[in-house]
Amino acid sequence: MINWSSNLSSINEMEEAPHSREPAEATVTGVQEDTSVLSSRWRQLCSLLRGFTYDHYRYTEGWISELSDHMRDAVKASVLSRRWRQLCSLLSRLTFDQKEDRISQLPDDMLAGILSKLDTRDAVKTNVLSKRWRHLGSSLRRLTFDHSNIFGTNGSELPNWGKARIHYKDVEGYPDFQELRLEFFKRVDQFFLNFKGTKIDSLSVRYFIDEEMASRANQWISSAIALGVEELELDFTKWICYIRHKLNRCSIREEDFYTFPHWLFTQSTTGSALKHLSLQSCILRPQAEVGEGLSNLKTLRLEDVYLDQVSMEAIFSKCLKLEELYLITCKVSFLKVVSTSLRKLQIHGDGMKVEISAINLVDFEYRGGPSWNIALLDAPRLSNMFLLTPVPPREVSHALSLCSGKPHLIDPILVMSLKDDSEELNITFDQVDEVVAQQSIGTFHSIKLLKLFVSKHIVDVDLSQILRIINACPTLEKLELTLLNHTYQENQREIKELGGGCTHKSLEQVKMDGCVGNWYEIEFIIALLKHAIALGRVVLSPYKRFYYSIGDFYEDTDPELYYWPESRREAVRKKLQNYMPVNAAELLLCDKYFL
Amino acid sequence: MSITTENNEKMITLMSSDGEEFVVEEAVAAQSQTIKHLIEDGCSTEGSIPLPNVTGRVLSEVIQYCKKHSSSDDKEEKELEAWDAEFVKAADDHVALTDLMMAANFLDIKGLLDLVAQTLANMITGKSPEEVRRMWNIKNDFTPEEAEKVRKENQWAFE
Repeated sequence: MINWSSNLSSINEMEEAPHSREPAEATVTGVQEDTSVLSSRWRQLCSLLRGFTYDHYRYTEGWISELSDHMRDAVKASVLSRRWRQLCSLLSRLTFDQKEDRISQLPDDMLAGILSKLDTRDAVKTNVLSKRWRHLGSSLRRLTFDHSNIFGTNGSELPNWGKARIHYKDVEGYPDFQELRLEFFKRVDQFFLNFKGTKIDSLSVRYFIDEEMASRANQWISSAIALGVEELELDFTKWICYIRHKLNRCSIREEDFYTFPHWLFTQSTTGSALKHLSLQSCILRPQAEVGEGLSNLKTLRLEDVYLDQVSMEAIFSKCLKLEELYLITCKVSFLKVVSTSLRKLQIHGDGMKVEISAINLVDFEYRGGPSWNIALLDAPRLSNMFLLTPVPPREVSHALSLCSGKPHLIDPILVMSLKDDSEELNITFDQVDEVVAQQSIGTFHSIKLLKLFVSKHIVDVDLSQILRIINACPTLEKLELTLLNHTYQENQREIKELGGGCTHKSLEQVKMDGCVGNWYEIEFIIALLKHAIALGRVVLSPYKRFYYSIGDFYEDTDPELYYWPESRREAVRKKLQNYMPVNAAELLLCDKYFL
Repeated sequence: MSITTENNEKMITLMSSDGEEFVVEEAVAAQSQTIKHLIEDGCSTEGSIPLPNVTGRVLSEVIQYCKKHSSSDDKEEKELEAWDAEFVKAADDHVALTDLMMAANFLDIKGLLDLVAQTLANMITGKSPEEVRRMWNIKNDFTPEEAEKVRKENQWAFE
C-alpha cells in the first residue's frame, strides 16, 4: 500500500511557496469548472487529480510519484501555496474514494452491453450482485441455451450408454439421459419464469430435443414470440450425432424428430417479428395455411431438415420478404424455388434436384452433385455463381450453359472443382473435343472471368482440357487456374498444337496458382501466349488458395509448398520470355498469393 | 484548426476536458463517428474540437487505438486482434476501463466499445458473485429476504 503520511508531509512542506497569480476560484477541487484560465501546469495537475479520484487504488503508487514531480515543478514556478491545503484535504479523502464502485457508475445501456457479451449462465448470475444488476437482468436480448451454459463447463457429462443398432429409447442408459434432459428443461423453464425482460432479439437452443420433449420446448418458443423474437435458432444436430455416433449407431426414426411449431407464429399477433430462422435436425412441414406468421422472414437456414415440396411452396408463397435461403443436406429430393424476393441461395446436398425461378437472385451456390441437377435456372439478375461440380466434361458444358442468358453475370465466379468420382475422372481428349465441338463458339458470351480448380483427387491432370474450355469462352478476360495436383497425364503433346485456329482477342490476364513450373505447365502457358494476343499479364505462383465453403477459402500455409528455388525461377523465366507477346505481357513469378 | 502535413493529410486538433491538446490525422480522428460527424458539419474549421467528457489520459489511449485501426486493413485481422488484446491490457494499467468505455461510447467507436465491454465481461466469467462484488466494490444492497428470493430465482445458474 501507499505511504500516505510521507506524501502528505511533503505536500505540507511545500505549503508556503509564495507569489501565485492563479485565480483563487480555480482550486483543485474545482476541477469541474472551466480550467482554461489556468496555466498549463495547473491544468495538468487538475487532470492528474481527476484521474486520481476516479482511478482504482492500484494505479495510485505510480501516480503519486508522478504527482510529486509535478509538485516540484509547481514550486519552482512559484505557485501560490494556499491551494496546497485544499490539495491535502482532497488527497486525504481519496483513501476513502478509491474504493468506490466504478463499474456501477456506467449507464444502464453500457452495463447491458457488457452483460450481452456473457453467456446466459454468467449473465444470470449477475442478477444476485445488487438491486441494480438484478434490474439489468431484464436487458438481456440474446438468449442462448445449450448444454455447456446450462450445466456449466464442468457440468454434467453426458451418460455413456448404448448397444448397437437398436432404437435410442430402448437403450439401457436412456433413463439417465432422460433425467439429464429433464434437468435442462427445468432450468430453462426457470429462466423464462423469472425473466423480466420485455423484448428479446434472439433465442438460440442447441440441445437434445426430440418429438417427446416438443411441447415443452414449444413453450419457450411461445415465450420468445411474446417477447418479439427476431432471430430464432433451433439446432438439434448435436443429439442426433450423439445418438448416431457416440451411442453405437443407435437408430432414430423420422417421427422422433422435433417438428417446428410454425402454428405458434400464426396464433400470435407478434409472430411476424421473426426475421431470421435457422433450423437444424428437425421437421418443417408447414401446409398452405402456414407462413402467415412468418411474413417478415428474411433469412431461412435449414440444415438436415425434413422438408417437402408442399411446405416449401407454402413458405415461398407466404414469405414475400425472404432474401436468403440456405438448404444444407435437407431431406428432400426435388425442390422448386419460386421467389421474387430471393437474393441469395445456397444448396448443399447430394443429388438434390432443383428448378429455380428467382427474378432477383444475385448469389447462387450449388453443391448438389452434377450441375444437370439444376434443371432450370431462371435468374436474370444473377451475378455470382458457384458450382461445385464433380464430373467433367459434359458437366463443364452444362455448367457453362447455365451461365448463358444472364447479362448481369459480368463477374461470375464459375468455380469448377474437377473432383472426385471414380470412372468419369479420366477424361479423354475425344470427349472434351466432342463437347466443345457441339457448342458453337460464342455461346458463352458473358463469361469474362473463369476460375478453374483442378482438384487433388484427379489422378492424371490433362491441361489440354483446360485450353479447350478457354476456347469455348471467347469473351474471357481473366483466367485463374489453381492446380492442386501435379501428376500429369503423360501423352499431352497435343498441348502444342491445341489452340491452333483459335485466337483469343480478349484474354488479358492469366493467373496460375499451384504452379510448380514443370514441362506441362510451361507448355500450357506457351500455348496461351501464342494465341492470346491481348495478354498483358501472366502470373505464376506455387501458392494455392481455393474455395472451400460458403465464402471461405482454403490456403496452403506451409512455406515449403509455395517457394520456388531461384534456379527454377530463372529457368521458367528464360523459357517463357521468348514467347511473351511483343506489346505487353508482364510475367510475374510470385511466391505468395497474388490478386 | 486544420493543418496539412507534407503527406497532404489533414490534421485535426482534439482538446480533452482538462485542456490537453492532441493533433491527429483526420483519418485517425474519423474512427470516432462522433468526431467524423463534427468534422462533416464543419465544426473543426475553427480551433480545436473540444471533447468535454474525455480526459487527456483517456483520450491518449483512445487515440492510440484509432491510430492502429486507421492504418490497418482487413487483411491483418489476426494481427489486429492480438494488438487489441495487448492494447486493452496496457490501457487497464493507465486508465480505468470504465472511463475508456464511457469515452468509446461518447466518441462512438464501435470496435473499441466492443473490445472494452468484452474485456469487462471476461473479468466476470466464471467468478462467483462474491468475487465479482469484491473485484468491483459492488455493494450488496439486498435485504436478507430479497437476497434469498433472488438467489432462488436464479438458482439454476449456480448448480
